[in-house]
Amino acid sequence: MSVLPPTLRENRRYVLFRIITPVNPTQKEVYRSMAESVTALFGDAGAAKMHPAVVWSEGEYAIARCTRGYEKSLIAALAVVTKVCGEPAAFRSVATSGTILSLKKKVVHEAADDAAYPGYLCAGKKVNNLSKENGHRYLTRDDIIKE
Amino acid sequence: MITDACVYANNSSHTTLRRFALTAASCGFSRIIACDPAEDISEYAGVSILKGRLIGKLSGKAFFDAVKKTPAGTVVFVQVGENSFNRTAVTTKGVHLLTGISDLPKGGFDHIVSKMAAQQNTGVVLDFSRIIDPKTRRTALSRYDEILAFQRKYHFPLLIASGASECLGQRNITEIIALADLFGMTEQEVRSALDSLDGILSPKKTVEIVEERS
Repeated sequence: MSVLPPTLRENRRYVLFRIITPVNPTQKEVYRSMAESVTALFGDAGAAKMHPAVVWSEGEYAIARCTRGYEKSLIAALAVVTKVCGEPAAFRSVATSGTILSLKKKVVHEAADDAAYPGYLCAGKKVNNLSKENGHRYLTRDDIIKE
Repeated sequence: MITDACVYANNSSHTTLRRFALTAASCGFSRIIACDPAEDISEYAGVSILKGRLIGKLSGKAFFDAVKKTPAGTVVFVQVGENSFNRTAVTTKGVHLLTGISDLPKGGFDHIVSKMAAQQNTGVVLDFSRIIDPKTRRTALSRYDEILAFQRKYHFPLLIASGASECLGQRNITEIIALADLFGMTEQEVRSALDSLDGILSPKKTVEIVEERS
């Protein structure tokens, strides 16, 4: 099979987004959540034009692909995702680009810091309480110090 | 200042007010209004936090009393209801914002309320949590489209709120622009809506003292 010449190939755009959820979803699960919301918002016809796909996923970051001109629609679809694997989640879009490489450069991994506060999952200033001891699940370091 | 017009950091929320502010800062906001907050914090992580009070659908005297009893410096939200109640709410002194537009029946917010809101400089809040929730999405998109048409004609202040009760419900500005595009709101309109709270809290006076001579 011959390869399509570059001028006949579909132009694509890539969206880097951050997955905020307590679980660690696989690329397939991330795609399922995204595809569901694309279909819910734009229908099957819109999804067919958009060609959404998740092309890369590592830790809390993932890259989604779409046809050029549909980036805004893809970001809107990512914004309405509220669950992954049955757990509450949010897909926060970070950047849009024409290449995967340039998006990977924008990935910033925040080191988890469990040792400092047992029962809490700390990333930077943000803290997630795993045990829900104080009734709040999402806190900051200052909230723990205040306690 | 770029403002998220409403987050619910009350006792039933699993997110602390500080965490709301921290997430708002990472989403590009410089101010949030916390509706009936459990804590009293004025600033955190560079985000200023205003107190808000939500007044529900009340009958005549109870409504005026609730507005009067609200402490100074608190942003007053009124949950919209029937057309006559909305007209009263818009013209009441001390009411800053109307919210709950997506729950209105068709025609609940008409051209007369729009004109009154423009004259009294009362803002209308577009709650984006209603778009995110699949159950209320269709109604919300259709109502917001109607409101936008009125706003383009009568130029009353429009505000955007995440309406989040958890930090996962907050959205960044790029996402808000993309979501607003679903009901035909342009990027320029979104940016002016995010920045319109100052005009409501401290409206321009017809006569302003620039310099006082002693």
